[in-house]
Amino acid sequence: MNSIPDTLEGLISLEYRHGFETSIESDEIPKGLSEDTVRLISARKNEPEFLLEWRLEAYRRWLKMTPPTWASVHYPPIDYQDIIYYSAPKSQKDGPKSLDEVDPELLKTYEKLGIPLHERAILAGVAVDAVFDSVSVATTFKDKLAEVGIIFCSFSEAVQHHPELIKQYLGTVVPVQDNFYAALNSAVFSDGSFVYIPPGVRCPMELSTYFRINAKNTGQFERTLIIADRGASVSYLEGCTAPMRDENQLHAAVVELVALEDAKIKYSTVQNWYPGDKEGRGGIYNFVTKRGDCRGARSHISWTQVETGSAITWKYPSVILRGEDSVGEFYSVALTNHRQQADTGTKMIHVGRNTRSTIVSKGISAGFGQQAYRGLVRMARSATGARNHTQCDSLLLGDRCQAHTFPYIEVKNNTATVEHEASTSRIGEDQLFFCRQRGLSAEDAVSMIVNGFCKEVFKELPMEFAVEAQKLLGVSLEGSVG
Amino acid sequence: MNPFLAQCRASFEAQATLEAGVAERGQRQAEWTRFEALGWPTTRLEDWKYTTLSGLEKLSLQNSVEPREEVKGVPPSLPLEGIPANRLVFVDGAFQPNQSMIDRLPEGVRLRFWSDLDAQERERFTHKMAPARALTAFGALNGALFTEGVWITVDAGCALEAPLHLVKVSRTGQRMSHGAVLLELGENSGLTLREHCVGNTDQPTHSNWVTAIELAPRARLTLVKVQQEGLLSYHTAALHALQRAGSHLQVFSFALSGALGRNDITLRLIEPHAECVLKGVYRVADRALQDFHTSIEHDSPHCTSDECFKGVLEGSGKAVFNGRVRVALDAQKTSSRQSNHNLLLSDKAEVNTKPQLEIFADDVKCSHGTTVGQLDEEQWFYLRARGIAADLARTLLIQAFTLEIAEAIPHVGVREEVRHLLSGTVEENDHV
Repeated sequence: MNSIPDTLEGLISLEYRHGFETSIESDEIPKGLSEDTVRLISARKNEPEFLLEWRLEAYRRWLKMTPPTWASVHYPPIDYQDIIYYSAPKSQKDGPKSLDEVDPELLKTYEKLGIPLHERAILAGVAVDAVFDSVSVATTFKDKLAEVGIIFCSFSEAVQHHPELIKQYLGTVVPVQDNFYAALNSAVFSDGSFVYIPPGVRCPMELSTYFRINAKNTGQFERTLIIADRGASVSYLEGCTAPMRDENQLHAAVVELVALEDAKIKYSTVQNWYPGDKEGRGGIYNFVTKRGDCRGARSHISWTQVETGSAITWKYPSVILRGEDSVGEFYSVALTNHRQQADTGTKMIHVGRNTRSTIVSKGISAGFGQQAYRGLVRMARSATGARNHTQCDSLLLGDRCQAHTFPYIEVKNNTATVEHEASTSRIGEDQLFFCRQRGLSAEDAVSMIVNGFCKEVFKELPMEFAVEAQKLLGVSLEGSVG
Repeated sequence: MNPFLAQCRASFEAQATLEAGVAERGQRQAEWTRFEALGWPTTRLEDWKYTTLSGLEKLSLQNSVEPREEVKGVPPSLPLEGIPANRLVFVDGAFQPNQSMIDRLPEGVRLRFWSDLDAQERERFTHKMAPARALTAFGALNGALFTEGVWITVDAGCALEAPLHLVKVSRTGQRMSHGAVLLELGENSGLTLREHCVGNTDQPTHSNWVTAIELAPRARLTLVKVQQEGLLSYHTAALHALQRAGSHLQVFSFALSGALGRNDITLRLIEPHAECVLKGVYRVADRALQDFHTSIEHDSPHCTSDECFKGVLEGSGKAVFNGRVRVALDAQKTSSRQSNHNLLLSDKAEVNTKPQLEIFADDVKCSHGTTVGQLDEEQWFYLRARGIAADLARTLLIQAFTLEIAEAIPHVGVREEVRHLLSGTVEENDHV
């Protein structure tokens, strides 16, 4: 990219914007993992017997499993005994009932991130269930949501107040033995969000959780469960930022979505965790299992993700299309810069008749970034009339980055239609020249072209997120052109 | 140990005692050891995920150990009459001098056979075959068990107008045939090689050939392979090509029959401005399986590749396509296209396809596309509305789908012949 002036070189060294650490006393349990750790976590959270049994079952299965090696990511082996599996801010003991009671240090952290809780909640009409490390400390708009019968709370609250729902749905989409990280999560998950939308209710606002990893050496094991009952609809937003640190952190979350008849779930993520420094030191390992289950006829699950952070991303939000005429969607923008590695994609499992799925994946690889799209489209014998369209494009910036595509397509029904297209290229010199000639600076031109490249995905994001995503992409990219 | 392996071992031991030199025995032993180390391919291996060899496992097949074992009277149903000159005939892996016609080849083309080579040449031959044999476990098996090998060299500047025919016949049932082909083209030379894999036995056979190709700068090679073996035949084949600067390779592979076919094709573009075209058609009948694993490796800048495979599946036929394109670091200005299209004509047919791109350079243009579907209803309606009978309309559409691949064959005679074959299979199947 000779046409870019040298001044851009300076931008490459751009450091992580959200790198700071809030010092709050944490309530931690000792490092290491054993049955006792699992029992201890369960006891701290005052969980019912069935959940403890479920955790132990997961732990025992996990012991027999080995970490997956098929993904095209490289990292030193993780010592699972060197991780603290539970950490709760001490202030939680009193239990803040309103924003005023929340630790001001915490609120400041959010402010630094540009999300003043109350202001944001009021202005944008967003209810925020903010997760600070492992325990939810503030949940807003709960009353308003309760009026229409929506349950939106932290996972541990749901365990206390709605154990029957947990018992009915937990682990039905991602079973404990699903994979190594899902099993680990099932054994030691700390907290997360729980959403239940009753039949026929359309959630009046966008639900949102801001995840944040704070205390040192604390692996976060979030567990999210969203259930949309018959005819219900909900849009859920998840966003992440984390302070700068030196040691790699493991994050193994599990997200389960259940859509019953005519229900609709839209799950959007902006992920901006610490990617490590320029040499790739100290970033977050993000090994996530996300899966949606379109159980009912005409149900609809849509995943939208913007992945710019993490040192390693291992993530395949999937949809099982069981119900007739159900719809699955996956829209993704993934950006890897410096030494980031991402192995991400989706799985669309078509089981029901006339099910439809769309996959749009945009990968941008810069610096020494490594990126792989790994997808599966499976048309089961019963998926009569099913359709899939997949488009995955990669954009390469820099001659040391990598982009790989591994789409698995398995078709067992002849009435099913599957289309897959993929392309890989770099920004065209002619496109750049065109913009530069019209007076745009090199970085503006690149930013514009990249944003155009991602537009198809951004337009799927809710308003609040679309703005943030574009900004994020701009910041993450600025350093990479050269 | 399954019956197939047991028989392979027996055959290997028999062969080892026959072999003259100590060096050859060592080479065969090394390959056998490698084969055993790799293990029998099962669906637990990523490369064999969708292809089960349970049918082959149960067979106990004999291997030909005599490289010139003469077979009298090749059955008239085999298309030898249609192949006038420049033909090399192998029956069950053994070379047939009397059936072959190689006396009219120009001076620049030399043919040598493994059994005639001296120890030094054998070592070179083995060395050059190694990358092709390294592709799969069956390649190692070939190295241990092969009956005969042919080494074809075309001198620099020599261009053959007429195609050279390589006929591999599975004549008798319960036999396996392991053969090796080494093709070396000198600078600015040109050759069209037409490979016939035929067999008319109604008993199971296994053909396991390995082909290695080396193209010197600006050499041009067209390879057209057609698999038309018996309904119970197993076909495994590995092809490895090395392309130097400005060379041009076109590989056409048509898998038209057989119980199970597995082709592993690796084309490596190791010097700038090399070009390759890889095209193929698989027609999979009821209960059959065809598997293509291709890999195009751009190791050098300014190379282009164009790949297209089309499949037509009937009954409970199954097809596997794994197309890998790898662009190495610094292989800038690479241009690569890949596509795979599948027609499912039955509700029991199954396709597993994986077009795989691995890119380590930035200034590249790579694309791939895949489709799986049925015959286009609009096209069907167009023909029906013009009074064309249902089965003819169907035949026409399938023909149009597959003939596109044959149209790209540069040699007129070979093109016409393959066109005829493709049209033929459709009609035959319709009468069944």
